[in-house]
Amino acid sequence: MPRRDIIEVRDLWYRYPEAKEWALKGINLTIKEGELVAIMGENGAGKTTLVKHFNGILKPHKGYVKVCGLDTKEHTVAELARYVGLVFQNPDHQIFASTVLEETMFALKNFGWDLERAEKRAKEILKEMGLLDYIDTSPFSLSGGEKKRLTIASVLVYDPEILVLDEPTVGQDYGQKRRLAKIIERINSLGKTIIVVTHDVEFVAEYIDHVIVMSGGRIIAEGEVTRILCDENIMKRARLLSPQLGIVVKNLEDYIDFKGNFLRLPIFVENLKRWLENDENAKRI
Amino acid sequence: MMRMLRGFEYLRGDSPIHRLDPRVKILYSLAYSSLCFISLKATFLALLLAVNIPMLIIGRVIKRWLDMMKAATPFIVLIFLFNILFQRFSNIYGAVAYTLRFVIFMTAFAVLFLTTTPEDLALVMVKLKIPYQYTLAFTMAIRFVPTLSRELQIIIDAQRSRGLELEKGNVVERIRKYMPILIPLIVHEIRRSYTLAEAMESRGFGYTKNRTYYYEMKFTKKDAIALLCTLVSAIFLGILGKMPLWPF
Repeated sequence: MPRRDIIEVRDLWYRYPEAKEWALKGINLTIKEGELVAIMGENGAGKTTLVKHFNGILKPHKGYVKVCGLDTKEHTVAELARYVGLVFQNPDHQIFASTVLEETMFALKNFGWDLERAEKRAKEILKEMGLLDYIDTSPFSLSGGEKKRLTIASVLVYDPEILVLDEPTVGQDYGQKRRLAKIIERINSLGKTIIVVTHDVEFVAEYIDHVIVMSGGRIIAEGEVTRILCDENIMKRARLLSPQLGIVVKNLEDYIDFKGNFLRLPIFVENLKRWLENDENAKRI
Repeated sequence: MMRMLRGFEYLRGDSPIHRLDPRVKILYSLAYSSLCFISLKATFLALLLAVNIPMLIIGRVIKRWLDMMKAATPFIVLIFLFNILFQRFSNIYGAVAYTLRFVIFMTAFAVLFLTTTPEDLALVMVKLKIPYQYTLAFTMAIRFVPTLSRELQIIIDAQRSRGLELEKGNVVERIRKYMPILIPLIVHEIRRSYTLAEAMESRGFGYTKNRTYYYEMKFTKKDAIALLCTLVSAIFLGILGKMPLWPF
């Protein structure tokens, strides 16, 4: 079944008020339903500016952005928010309620759900996020990782088609990152489209297959994670460092023909084993 | 409102006015802002405003002053309309005069704030024997205005992304809708102030009573001339304003 284009960006130009330079310079982009995509690039490359167009917080100066077939210029943020859940980088910029449950129900109240149904749904999602024990505690007393999960829960609660996570791994330890990755993979397996904005190369290498790279307000590359993250030119222009496994593969290129997404450790090891099991290769060592 | 406040924000620049001793500029602003209260003749007030314009031009901040006036236009219009509507004995010139007062007041202080670094102003406060803690609080308040407005925007965006509609509802509902924006802002700022206090203490803030300053103010010959010009012109204009020369 051909998947439909869920986000369509055509020749998007955007400039912040009072700024001289364009923040986005002619972005063209198509994201298909159910895709899991990473948008990467250095600070100030325009990543956050781009995703703020997906739910209409920012409106294009030139060109257009269509989300689920809706032109963002013709719809309010509240309308578009039902389709696009945007999780901001810093949980402290949105946490305000006196309990975790209320915080989670905020969006549902805004969308006019009745209280009983909203509470049931909020509890469901908090259980999924492992926050059920904190329902009556103040969200301000949660740890950094828990706050992050709470903000994701407060968006997932209304079941948007598209989930955008802005820098979800910043300030998170390895355990939290794995937990995040599990959440992302599970939501994606339900057919939701997920866009992760990040410059965490190792995180992308481990969990995401499709990458878009931005620099200076433009998209400079798009494609398979193995191709993009191992391309020295692209990485240099985006001021990113290839993931460690990518560098290892680059150095072994002449000997071993890696197949599949070798940036993931199990696949990398499998490739290596296959090569070692070949007697001729073993002799060469 | 935020735009008008940000209009007063100092941006780095250089001009003869920038280099003047801040004390002279403070005196200038005080003198001219009080001059606009000695007379209610629109013609005299227009002259006062005209005298201020060259200062903005020499200070290379005329464009920023215009931006500031643009941001203040709603207030200017409001003052004008209120005076026309609610002043029993005033005519159009009276309304113009009251409006001009507001504009001159802002302009006189614009000459000061647009050309003087907050650090310079702090030095003046120190010279006036104001305890350094208060001086620092003042400079930090100025320093954090743009940061605060940026953060406010992020919080508004974050809550709108969760379906908050600020434009809808009656007055009470609208005020209630601002809670999800004000609470994160206040909590965030209180947290930041603690972090800031810790960072400052770890760098030895308040270790000695007699702290020294990297920048020293020097009152030069040029400053003396500027001071003299300010005083003479202000006194002259003051006398002129009191004379029955002004038709309306």
